[in-house]
Amino acid sequence: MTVTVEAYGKLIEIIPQPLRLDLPPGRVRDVIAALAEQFPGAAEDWPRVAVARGADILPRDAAIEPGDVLALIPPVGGG
Amino acid sequence: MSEHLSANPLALSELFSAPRDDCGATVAFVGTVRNLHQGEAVDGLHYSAHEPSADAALARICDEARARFDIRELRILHRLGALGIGDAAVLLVCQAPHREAAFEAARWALETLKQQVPIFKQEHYVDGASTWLDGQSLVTSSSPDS
Repeated sequence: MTVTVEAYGKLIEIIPQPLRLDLPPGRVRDVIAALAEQFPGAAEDWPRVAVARGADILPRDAAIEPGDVLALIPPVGGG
Repeated sequence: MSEHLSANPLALSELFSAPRDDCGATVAFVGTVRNLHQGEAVDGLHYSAHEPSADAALARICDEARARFDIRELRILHRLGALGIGDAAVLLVCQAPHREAAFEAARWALETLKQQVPIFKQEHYVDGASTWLDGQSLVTSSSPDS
Protein backbone atom coordinates (compact mmCIF):
# COMPACT_ATOMS: atom_id res chain seq x y z
CA MET A 1 0.00 0.00 0.00
CA THR A 2 1.02 3.62 -0.48
CA VAL A 3 0.97 6.34 2.16
CA THR A 4 1.99 10.00 1.92
CA VAL A 5 4.31 11.40 4.55
CA GLU A 6 4.50 15.08 5.44
CA ALA A 7 7.43 16.43 7.47
CA TYR A 8 7.23 19.17 10.09
CA GLY A 9 9.71 21.09 12.22
CA LYS A 10 13.34 20.18 11.73
CA LEU A 11 12.38 17.11 9.70
CA ILE A 12 11.71 19.38 6.70
CA GLU A 13 15.49 19.63 6.37
CA ILE A 14 15.87 15.85 6.10
CA ILE A 15 12.83 14.48 4.29
CA PRO A 16 12.03 15.54 0.71
CA GLN A 17 8.44 16.66 0.15
CA PRO A 18 6.14 15.20 -0.86
CA LEU A 19 7.24 11.69 0.11
CA ARG A 20 5.27 8.59 -0.79
CA LEU A 21 6.10 5.28 0.84
CA ASP A 22 5.19 1.85 -0.46
CA LEU A 23 4.75 -0.42 2.53
CA PRO A 24 3.12 -3.73 3.39
CA PRO A 25 0.04 -3.32 5.62
CA GLY A 26 1.21 -2.41 9.09
CA ARG A 27 1.24 0.00 11.98
CA VAL A 28 2.75 3.35 12.83
CA ARG A 29 5.86 1.68 14.19
CA ASP A 30 6.42 0.08 10.78
CA VAL A 31 6.27 3.48 9.07
CA ILE A 32 8.84 4.83 11.52
CA ALA A 33 11.06 1.80 10.93
CA ALA A 34 10.87 2.30 7.16
CA LEU A 35 11.75 5.98 7.51
CA ALA A 36 14.63 5.20 9.85
CA GLU A 37 16.03 2.84 7.24
CA GLN A 38 15.58 5.35 4.42
CA PHE A 39 16.90 8.34 6.42
CA PRO A 40 19.54 6.97 8.80
CA GLY A 41 21.00 10.47 9.24
CA ALA A 42 18.16 11.21 11.64
CA ALA A 43 18.53 7.92 13.53
CA GLU A 44 18.60 9.46 16.99
CA ASP A 45 15.41 11.41 16.26
CA TRP A 46 13.07 8.65 15.08
CA PRO A 47 12.16 7.23 18.52
CA ARG A 48 10.93 10.73 19.46
CA VAL A 49 8.98 11.46 16.26
CA ALA A 50 5.21 11.16 16.64
CA VAL A 51 2.81 10.52 13.77
CA ALA A 52 -0.48 12.33 13.22
CA ARG A 53 -3.41 11.55 10.94
CA GLY A 54 -5.59 14.63 10.65
CA ALA A 55 -5.93 16.13 14.12
CA ASP A 56 -5.08 12.87 15.90
CA ILE A 57 -1.67 11.86 17.24
CA LEU A 58 -1.46 8.12 16.64
CA PRO A 59 0.05 5.61 19.06
CA ARG A 60 2.81 3.40 17.71
CA ASP A 61 0.45 0.41 17.46
CA ALA A 62 -2.22 2.20 15.39
CA ALA A 63 -3.01 0.55 12.07
CA ILE A 64 -2.13 2.39 8.86
CA GLU A 65 -4.58 2.41 5.96
CA PRO A 66 -3.83 2.66 2.23
CA GLY A 67 -3.85 6.29 1.11
CA ASP A 68 -3.23 7.69 4.58
CA VAL A 69 -1.61 11.11 4.79
CA LEU A 70 0.66 10.99 7.82
CA ALA A 71 2.34 13.95 9.49
CA LEU A 72 5.71 13.46 11.17
CA ILE A 73 5.75 15.44 14.42
CA PRO A 74 9.17 15.97 16.02
CA PRO A 75 9.42 17.11 19.66
CA VAL A 76 7.28 20.21 20.15
CA GLY A 77 8.41 23.64 21.31
CA GLY A 78 5.63 26.18 21.30
CA GLY A 79 5.14 29.07 23.70
CA MET B 1 -6.02 30.25 9.84
CA SER B 2 -7.80 28.64 12.83
CA GLU B 3 -9.35 29.53 16.15
CA HIS B 4 -6.08 29.25 18.10
CA LEU B 5 -3.36 29.92 15.50
CA SER B 6 -2.59 33.12 13.66
CA ALA B 7 -0.11 34.19 11.00
CA ASN B 8 -0.73 37.84 11.87
CA PRO B 9 0.63 39.97 14.75
CA LEU B 10 -1.27 39.23 17.96
CA ALA B 11 -3.27 41.73 20.02
CA LEU B 12 -4.87 41.08 23.39
CA SER B 13 -8.03 42.73 22.13
CA GLU B 14 -8.57 39.59 20.02
CA LEU B 15 -9.10 37.60 23.24
CA PHE B 16 -10.47 40.14 25.69
CA SER B 17 -12.68 43.15 25.43
CA ALA B 18 -14.48 43.36 28.78
CA PRO B 19 -14.66 41.33 31.99
CA ARG B 20 -17.55 38.94 32.45
CA ASP B 21 -20.12 39.94 35.06
CA ASP B 22 -19.58 36.68 36.97
CA CYS B 23 -15.77 37.08 37.15
CA GLY B 24 -13.70 39.14 39.57
CA ALA B 25 -10.32 38.16 38.13
CA THR B 26 -8.84 38.35 34.65
CA VAL B 27 -5.30 37.08 34.06
CA ALA B 28 -3.67 37.99 30.77
CA PHE B 29 -0.34 36.55 29.64
CA VAL B 30 1.75 37.71 26.69
CA GLY B 31 4.76 35.58 25.74
CA THR B 32 7.23 37.62 23.70
CA VAL B 33 10.45 36.96 21.79
CA ARG B 34 13.52 37.91 23.83
CA ASN B 35 16.92 38.84 22.46
CA LEU B 36 19.01 36.24 24.28
CA HIS B 37 18.84 32.45 24.60
CA GLN B 38 21.49 30.53 26.52
CA GLY B 39 24.06 33.22 25.87
CA GLU B 40 23.32 33.53 22.15
CA ALA B 41 22.15 36.86 20.73
CA VAL B 42 18.80 36.14 19.09
CA ASP B 43 17.65 37.94 15.96
CA GLY B 44 14.21 36.35 15.70
CA LEU B 45 12.13 33.18 15.67
CA HIS B 46 10.09 31.22 13.21
CA TYR B 47 7.14 29.20 14.47
CA SER B 48 5.50 26.50 12.39
CA ALA B 49 2.85 23.97 13.30
CA HIS B 50 0.99 20.90 12.19
CA GLU B 51 -2.15 22.96 12.20
CA PRO B 52 -4.89 20.29 12.48
CA SER B 53 -3.40 18.67 15.58
CA ALA B 54 -2.08 21.93 17.06
CA ASP B 55 -5.47 23.63 16.86
CA ALA B 56 -7.16 20.55 18.34
CA ALA B 57 -4.60 20.37 21.16
CA LEU B 58 -5.08 24.04 22.04
CA ALA B 59 -8.87 23.60 22.07
CA ARG B 60 -8.45 20.56 24.31
CA ILE B 61 -6.26 22.54 26.75
CA CYS B 62 -8.88 25.31 26.97
CA ASP B 63 -11.65 22.76 27.59
CA GLU B 64 -9.63 20.83 30.16
CA ALA B 65 -8.68 24.02 32.02
CA ARG B 66 -12.36 24.87 32.36
CA ALA B 67 -13.00 21.39 33.76
CA ARG B 68 -10.02 21.33 36.16
CA PHE B 69 -10.22 24.83 37.64
CA ASP B 70 -12.96 27.10 38.92
CA ILE B 71 -12.76 29.43 35.95
CA ARG B 72 -15.33 30.64 33.45
CA GLU B 73 -13.22 31.24 30.35
CA LEU B 74 -9.74 30.53 29.06
CA ARG B 75 -8.59 31.46 25.59
CA ILE B 76 -5.24 30.98 23.84
CA LEU B 77 -3.86 32.35 20.59
CA HIS B 78 -0.44 31.30 19.24
CA ARG B 79 1.45 33.08 16.49
CA LEU B 80 2.99 31.31 13.51
CA GLY B 81 5.55 32.58 11.00
CA ALA B 82 8.51 34.93 11.40
CA LEU B 83 8.71 36.96 14.61
CA GLY B 84 11.13 39.70 15.62
CA ILE B 85 12.40 40.63 19.06
CA GLY B 86 9.52 41.81 21.22
CA ASP B 87 6.81 40.31 19.06
CA ALA B 88 4.06 38.41 20.86
CA ALA B 89 4.33 34.63 20.36
CA VAL B 90 1.43 33.54 22.53
CA LEU B 91 -1.51 35.20 24.24
CA LEU B 92 -3.63 33.73 27.01
CA VAL B 93 -6.58 35.25 28.83
CA CYS B 94 -8.28 33.55 31.75
CA GLN B 95 -11.36 34.82 33.57
CA ALA B 96 -12.49 33.41 36.90
CA PRO B 97 -14.62 34.44 39.88
CA HIS B 98 -11.44 34.60 42.03
CA ARG B 99 -7.76 35.26 41.34
CA GLU B 100 -6.30 32.01 42.70
CA ALA B 101 -8.02 29.85 40.11
CA ALA B 102 -7.31 32.35 37.34
CA PHE B 103 -3.55 32.31 38.05
CA GLU B 104 -3.41 28.53 38.51
CA ALA B 105 -5.33 27.78 35.33
CA ALA B 106 -3.26 30.22 33.27
CA ARG B 107 -0.01 28.68 34.52
CA TRP B 108 -1.24 25.13 33.94
CA ALA B 109 -2.46 25.93 30.43
CA LEU B 110 0.84 27.51 29.39
CA GLU B 111 2.94 24.67 30.76
CA THR B 112 0.66 22.14 29.06
CA LEU B 113 0.88 24.05 25.78
CA LYS B 114 4.66 23.69 25.83
CA GLN B 115 4.35 19.94 26.43
CA GLN B 116 1.51 18.94 24.11
CA VAL B 117 0.95 21.26 21.14
CA PRO B 118 2.58 20.43 17.77
CA ILE B 119 4.28 23.79 17.29
CA PHE B 120 7.94 23.98 16.29
CA LYS B 121 10.38 26.81 17.04
CA GLN B 122 13.38 27.69 14.95
CA GLU B 123 15.64 30.29 16.52
CA HIS B 124 17.71 32.64 14.35
CA TYR B 125 20.81 34.26 15.80
CA VAL B 126 22.51 37.57 15.14
CA ASP B 127 25.58 35.77 13.73
CA GLY B 128 23.43 34.17 10.99
CA ALA B 129 23.18 30.71 12.51
CA SER B 130 19.89 29.05 13.38
CA THR B 131 18.68 26.02 15.30
CA TRP B 132 15.49 24.07 15.91
CA LEU B 133 14.81 24.06 19.64
CA ASP B 134 14.24 20.66 21.17
CA GLY B 135 11.18 19.97 23.28
CA GLN B 136 8.72 17.33 24.41
CA SER B 137 8.13 14.20 22.31
CA LEU B 138 4.46 13.31 21.68
CA VAL B 139 5.17 9.62 21.06
CA THR B 140 2.88 7.17 22.80
CA SER B 141 3.53 3.45 22.60
CA SER B 142 0.01 2.09 22.53
CA SER B 143 -3.60 3.14 22.25
CA PRO B 144 -5.49 3.60 25.56
CA ASP B 145 -7.70 0.57 24.97
CA SER B 146 -4.99 -1.81 23.78
